[in-house]
Amino acid sequence: MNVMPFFIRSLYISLFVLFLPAGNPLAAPQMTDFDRLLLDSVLHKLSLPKATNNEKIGYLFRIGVLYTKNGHTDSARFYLRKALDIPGGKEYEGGRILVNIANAYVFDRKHSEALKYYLEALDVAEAGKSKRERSNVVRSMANLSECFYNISNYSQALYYAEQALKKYNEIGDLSINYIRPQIYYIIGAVYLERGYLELAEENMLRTFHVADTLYQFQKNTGGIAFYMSYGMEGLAKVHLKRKNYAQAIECAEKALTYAEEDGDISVMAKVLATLSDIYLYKGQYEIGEKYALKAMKINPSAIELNPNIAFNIAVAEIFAGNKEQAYHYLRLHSNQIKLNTDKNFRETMAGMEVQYKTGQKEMRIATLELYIGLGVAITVALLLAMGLLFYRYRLSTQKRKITEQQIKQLEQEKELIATRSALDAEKAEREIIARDLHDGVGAMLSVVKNNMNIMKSYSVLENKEADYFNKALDGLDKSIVELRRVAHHIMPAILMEKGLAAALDDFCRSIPEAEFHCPEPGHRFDPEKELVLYRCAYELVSNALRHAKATRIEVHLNTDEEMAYLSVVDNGCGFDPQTVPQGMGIKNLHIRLAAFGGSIEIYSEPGKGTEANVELKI
Amino acid sequence: MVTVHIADDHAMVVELLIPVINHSGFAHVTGYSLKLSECRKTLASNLPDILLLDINMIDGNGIVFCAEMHKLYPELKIIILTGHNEYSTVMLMLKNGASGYIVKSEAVGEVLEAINAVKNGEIYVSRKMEQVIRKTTQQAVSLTPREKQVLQMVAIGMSSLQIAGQLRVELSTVRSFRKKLNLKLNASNPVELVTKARKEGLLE
Repeated sequence: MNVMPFFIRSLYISLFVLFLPAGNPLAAPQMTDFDRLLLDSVLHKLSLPKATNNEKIGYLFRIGVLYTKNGHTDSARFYLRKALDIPGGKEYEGGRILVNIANAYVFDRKHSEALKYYLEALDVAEAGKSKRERSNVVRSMANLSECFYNISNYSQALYYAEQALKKYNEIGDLSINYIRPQIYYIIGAVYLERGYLELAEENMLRTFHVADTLYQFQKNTGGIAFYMSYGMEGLAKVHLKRKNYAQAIECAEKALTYAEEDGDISVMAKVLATLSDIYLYKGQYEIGEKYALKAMKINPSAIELNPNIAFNIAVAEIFAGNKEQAYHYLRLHSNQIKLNTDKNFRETMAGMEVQYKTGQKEMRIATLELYIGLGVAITVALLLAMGLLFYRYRLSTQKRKITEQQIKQLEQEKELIATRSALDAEKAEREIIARDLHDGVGAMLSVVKNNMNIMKSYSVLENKEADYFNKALDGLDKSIVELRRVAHHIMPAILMEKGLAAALDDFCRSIPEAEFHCPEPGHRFDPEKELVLYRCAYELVSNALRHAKATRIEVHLNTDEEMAYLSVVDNGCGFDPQTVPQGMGIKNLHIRLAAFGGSIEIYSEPGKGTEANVELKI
Repeated sequence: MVTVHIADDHAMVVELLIPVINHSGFAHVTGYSLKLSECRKTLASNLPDILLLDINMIDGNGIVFCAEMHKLYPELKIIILTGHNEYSTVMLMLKNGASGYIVKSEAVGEVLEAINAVKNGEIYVSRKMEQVIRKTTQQAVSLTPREKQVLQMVAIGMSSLQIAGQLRVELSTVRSFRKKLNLKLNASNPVELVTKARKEGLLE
C-alpha cells in the first residue's frame, strides 16, 4: 500500500527537477480609487472591537474579494485564510471563502492549487444544508470544470460542467444564473476540442443566448458581456473548423464588439487572436498579421495564452518576404510553445495528483486488493501520459493538427465507403425481391382471388358460410394491395426511370391521405441519393399513417442546383421528442442520410402534428 | 363477335380469363401467348380486335411492346392487364397507345366491361385507379408550419441568430430554412422574400 504514493512522489519530484516552476506572470496592478475606499471602510469596521465573529468573517471575506478583483492575490488569500481561521468560519461561509481562495489562484493561473480549493469548497458545500451552501455547490462545480478545462483535462471538465448544470436546475436559485453561460461555454469548448462541431456550436449558441438574455435584464451586472463575447468567439472557432470563413469572421467581429463593451483586455486579445487565425486560414496574411499585432499590443501577455499569434505574424512576414522578422516571430512562437508544453505537462501531472487524492478519498471503504489495482492503473496511466506528452512535445502543434485531421478524414471516408457499398448491395437485392414479390406472389394471389370470385358465383352458400367466404375474399383483397404496395416501395422502378419527383407523385397518389407539393419535377440527380430521399418520404409517411394516425399528410419536394429539400408534414397526434425514443426506421434514415452528407430534423409536439425536414446536397 | 388475344406469362391467368370471355356472349378468345415474341408472331398472321397485354413479361417489357404494336397496327385496341397500380404507369400506357387499363386485383368482370367500352371507341380505366388519376400535384408555393413561422420572424426583421434562439434550434437549421424559403419563393434576399410572400398571401 505504501508503494504507490512513493512512486507518485518520486515522479513528481523528478518533474520539478526537469522543469523550473514559472513565477506569477502578472504584476499586481494598481487598485482603483473606489475599491481602495471600500477596502478602507471595511478594514475600519473590522478593527472595531464590538464586531461578532460572523461579522468579522463577512468583512474578511469582502476584503479578500476586493483584493482578488484588483489582482492582489497574495493579500486576498491572506485575508480569506484568516476568515477561515475564525472559530465557526468554515461552517458559516466556508464554501464561499474556499471558492474565492481558489479564484485567487486561478487569477495567478495556478490551476492545480485552485483545483484543491475548489474540491474542498465542494466538500464543505455538499455537507451544508442551506440554500446558499447548495448554490455554492453549483459555483464550485462550475469553477472546477473551468479549472479542469484549463489544464486540458476535458473529461473531468465535462463531468463537472454537467453536474453543475444538473444541480443548478435542481435548486433553481436565480441569484446564480450568471453561472449558466460559464457552464455552457466550457461544455462547448470541450466539444470543440474533441471535434464535435454540432454540439460545440449548440453550446456556444446557448452561451451567447443565455448571456444575452441575462444582459437584457441585468445590464449592470459585470461579466455578462464577457460571456456574450466568449459565446461568439466560440462560434467563430466552430465556423473556422468548418471552413465557413465568412460566418467565422461575422461571429468573431461580434465577439470583439462585446469584448470591447466588457473592457476585459484578455478577452479582447483572445478574440483578436481568433480573428487573426481566421484570416490566415483564408489566406489573407496581411489582415491576419494586423489582428495578431493588435492582440499583442492590447495585451502583451496574450502570446502566453495563444502562441499562435506569433506564428501568424511569422507566416505573414514569410509571405511578405521579410525573413528576419519571420525568424524572430518563429523563435518567439517555438519558445512559447516549449514553455507552454512544459507548463501543461506539469499542470496535467498536478491535476492527476489531485484526481488521485480525490480517488483516495472515495476509496476509503474499498479493499486492499482493489486499492493496489487502482494504484497500478494510475501508474500505468501516468506513464502513458508521460510518453504521450513527450511525443506531443516533439511533434509541432501545426504538424500534429494536420496528421490528426488526415487520420480522421481517412476514417470518415472509410466509413462512408462501407455504408455506401452496403447500400449498393441492398439496392441490388431489393430489386430482385421486389420483382419476385410483384410478379410472382402478387400474380398468383390475384388468380386465387379471381377463382374464389368465380366460386362465389357458382356455389350456393349458406348465410354464415357466405359471411366467412366474403371475409376471406376481403382479406385476400387487402393482402394483394398490401403486397403490391410493399413490393413497389422496396424498389420503385419509376424512381430509376423517371426520377424522384415522379416516384413521389406516384407514391402520394396511392395514399388517399397524402398530398404532393412540388413546383416542378426538377432535374435528375445521383440515383442513390434519389433512393435515399424516397426511402425517407416512405418511412415518414408510413409513420404518419401508422403511429400518428394522420388524416392529412403533405409531402414537399424542392430542389435547386445544389440541394434537395424534402418535408413531410402531418396533422396526426404528434409526440414529445424529448421522451419518445427514436424508432428503428428513423435511426436508419439518419444513417442512410449521413452516408451521403444529408440530415433530417423532426419537430413535433403532442396534439400538434409532426414536421420532418430532410436536406441533402446533390 | 369481338376477337381477343391474351398475352400474359402466367398460365393461370390465361386459364382463368378464357372461359370468362368465351362465356360473355360478345367476345371470343382466338389465342394466347406466354411470351412477347410469340405474341408478335401471332399478331402478324392473325390480328385480333383486342389485345389483352401484361406489362411484366418473361422475355420483355409490355410498355415498349404496346407502343410498337400500336404503331404497327393502329386499328388494334390494346387493354393493359397488370399488377401495376401506379399513376405514372397508367399515364405512360395510355400515352403509348393503350385504350384500356385494368389492375389485376380487380374482379374479372372488369375485363368484360373494358372489352365492351374499348370496342365502342372509349377509353377504360379500372375504377380503383380513378381516384389516383383525379388527384393533383400541388404546384403553387406552399410552406410547412415551421417554414411559415420562420418567414413571419424574417418579416418582422429578426436575424437568423435571434430566430434560432426563439425557436430553440441551431443556427444552421435556421439558415437552411431561409435558403429553402428563398428557393420556394424564388427570392434572393430577405426584402424580396417578404415582398413575394406578401404577394402570394403567405403573410398577413
